[in-house]
Amino acid sequence: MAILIQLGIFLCLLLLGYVFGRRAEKKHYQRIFEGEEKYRNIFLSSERLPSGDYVFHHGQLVCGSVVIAVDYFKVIVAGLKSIFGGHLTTYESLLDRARRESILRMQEQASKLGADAIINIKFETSRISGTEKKATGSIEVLAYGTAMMDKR
Amino acid sequence: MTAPKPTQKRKQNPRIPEGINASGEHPLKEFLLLVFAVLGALVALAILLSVFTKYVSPYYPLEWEPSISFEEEPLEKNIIAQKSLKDILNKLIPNSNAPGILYKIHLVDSDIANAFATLGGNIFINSGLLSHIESENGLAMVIAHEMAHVQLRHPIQALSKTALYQLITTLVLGDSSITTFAGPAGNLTLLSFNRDMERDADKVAIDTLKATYGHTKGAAEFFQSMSHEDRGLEFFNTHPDVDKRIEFLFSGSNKQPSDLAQAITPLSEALLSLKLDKQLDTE
Repeated sequence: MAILIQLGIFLCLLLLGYVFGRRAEKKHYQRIFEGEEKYRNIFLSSERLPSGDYVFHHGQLVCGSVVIAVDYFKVIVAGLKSIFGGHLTTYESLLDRARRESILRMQEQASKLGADAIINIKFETSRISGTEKKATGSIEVLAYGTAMMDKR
Repeated sequence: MTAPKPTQKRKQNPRIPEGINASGEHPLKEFLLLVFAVLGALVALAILLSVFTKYVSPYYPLEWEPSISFEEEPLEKNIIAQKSLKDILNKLIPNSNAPGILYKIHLVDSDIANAFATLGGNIFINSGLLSHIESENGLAMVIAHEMAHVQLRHPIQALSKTALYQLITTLVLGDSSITTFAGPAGNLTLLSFNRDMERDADKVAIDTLKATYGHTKGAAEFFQSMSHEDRGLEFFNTHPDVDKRIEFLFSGSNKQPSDLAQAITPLSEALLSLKLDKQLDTE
């Protein structure tokens, strides 16, 4: 009986994780696509120094930060996958979303400053919770760079 | 050098195709694949290990099997009946395949018609079984059958299998409350034997019976009596195919002799009176 209850709770969590996680992911990707289209004119570059295009520009630090939590379904799939090895595809899409969202937030900041490009972009990723066993993990993805604004 | 004019077309970010960093594959597909792979591996492991226990557990010495406390089973107070049961056992032992085994037989005070063999060569006969028996031969067949279970090491095989399944469930569910080994005698007597085990035990038992009495008359008494009973009885859960077993007992060289000269041995007085008591109780 106790086993059945445990199994029931497990399946409920799995279903909840799947339904809500999947819905959130779809909606989020939709927002990401819209945002990327919106800020297409804020050029992104990992170049450390400004190129000749930006001799009349001045720079300012901009950053975008996102904290994401993993859902139960993704944890279970990743746990099963880690038995066999290979890509943890459920985590890949999660981190992909986080990186792109952090860039979008950075671009939003840059657009408010009137920038037309961000150079020297870097990423930082850090785990902020879920260090204890069985806890759901969440991580922060931080993107930062130098926004280039035209002085003229 | 001319500075770029502000009106110059601004640089734009390229549209990078999707599905490079994150595959667009449906997560359920991967999940189901993984679940089937894990379940398949577990089933394969369970099958492999259960075959392994079947062949390896008989090598575990009988003397090392745990002794069981009988507090769970209320033994029949009638000492003379207990003694006559022991007499039948002692009659059978020299004619069995393994006369060296130390059997312990117990008459249990229970109305449920059943008999079982368990670890450490312990055989339990419920007194309720007596009301389904007409002669000593019928009872001897039941005892010989349980002796065969002990000889063929069925209790330890069943225990190994139970422990194994418990281990696998523990592995899967992460529940660490293993109760098999710590379980009371009540658990150990519930060890279930499969059909193959029952059939093998019948085969050995009928040989023992033949060697003891010179014929197999009365061997099927218990099964015949039980097959007239209600099928919902507990007995049929642990001893399936009663009809088939009766058929087997009468087949081939085990044919019931029509010669009435080979008389059946009557039950001893103590057992007979106990049987009558039981029959009165149930009526």
